[in-house]
Amino acid sequence: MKSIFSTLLTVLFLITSLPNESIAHTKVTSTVPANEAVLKKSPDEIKLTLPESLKITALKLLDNQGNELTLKQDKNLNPVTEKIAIPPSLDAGTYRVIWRGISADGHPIKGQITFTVSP
Amino acid sequence: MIENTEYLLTVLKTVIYGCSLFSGGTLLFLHIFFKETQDVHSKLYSFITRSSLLGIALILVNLGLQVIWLSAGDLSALHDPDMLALVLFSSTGHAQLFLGLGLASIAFASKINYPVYGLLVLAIIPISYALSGHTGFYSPTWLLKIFIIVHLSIACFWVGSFIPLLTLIDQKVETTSDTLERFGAIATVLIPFLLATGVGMAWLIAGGIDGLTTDYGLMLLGKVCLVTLLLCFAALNKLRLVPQFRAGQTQAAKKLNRSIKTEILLVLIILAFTATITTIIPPENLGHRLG
Repeated sequence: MKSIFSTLLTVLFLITSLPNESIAHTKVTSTVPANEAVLKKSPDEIKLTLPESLKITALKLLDNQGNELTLKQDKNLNPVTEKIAIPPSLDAGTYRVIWRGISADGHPIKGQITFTVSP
Repeated sequence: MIENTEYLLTVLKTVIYGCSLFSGGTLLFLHIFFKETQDVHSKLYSFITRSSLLGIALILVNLGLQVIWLSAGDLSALHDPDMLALVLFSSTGHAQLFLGLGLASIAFASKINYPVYGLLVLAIIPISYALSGHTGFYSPTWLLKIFIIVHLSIACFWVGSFIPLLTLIDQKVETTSDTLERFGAIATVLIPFLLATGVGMAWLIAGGIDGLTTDYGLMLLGKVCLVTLLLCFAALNKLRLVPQFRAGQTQAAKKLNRSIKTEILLVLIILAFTATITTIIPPENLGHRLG
């Protein structure tokens, strides 16, 4: 019984010594367009500026019906601090940009913004 | 599709939590109450194997679903080796593979009947959850990791008692009332630690009282209400139904059976709450919701 207890204690010690992963969760620095922005014309680009390198695994533009609109973008999975995509010419309406990614320590992250193109 | 992936991940996570707690917990119960459960060993080992294999299958589905989540609902990502590698080599991927390994080892526990093996294998379950999730993001991390390991080990013991106790009652094993009383005595000592570590984790992650007014805090409070209800059933069993069962009252076995089944249902709802907290509603200051 003593050996079982000491084995479990050793395992517990090793696990509690694992490094902290808190650097994974820092907020996005800025977006273009800004969240909830009302634009007079269709945006030329959609840009995410990140405070640390993240692997962006998906960046999508959806209209208010939830339909996906094609974005021109580099789809490689290298860590980036900035992600830029070129949208098609957008009609008046509300749009949603969503993204997914993996932080430097391998933790999944997500985010979204909405913006409106006024008539 | 994009939002549905998140709900599906939550459902899968709930069942995986359930499989790991039920299979690991039942094995733990067999180790602690080895003699008392001898008559029902084969039934319980069969349950442990089935539960572990279901958990492993769902972990594989979950990994695939995470690929779809990361690609924001794009099914073709399942054929993308880069995306698959990204998920497998992420911290969450590692934790799930570790849990899968633990479940596979638990599935073979009936073949390797050696207590040290059983206990080491059991340690994998709380450890795999300590490797991922919110406890790694807050300070003091070492304390949170101890909390989650102790919390889950006791939860494992509690949840793992349900199926063996139901089987013992159902099979009318002679020593059942002794087992019920001994289990109740151990649980009385352990449950305060389960509650204390739960409160400790909630306090450190939510950031005190203020954090309780956020969506995350409200979900935590909901979980606390369910745990309180669960404790009421546990108290009912210990203080009323088990003494009635020992006294040989006619309806006691039926009432006890119903009460334990209600506990199982409550545990499943609690696990669903936990999966929602860890998947859809993270703590406000965690920054999952970038922007």
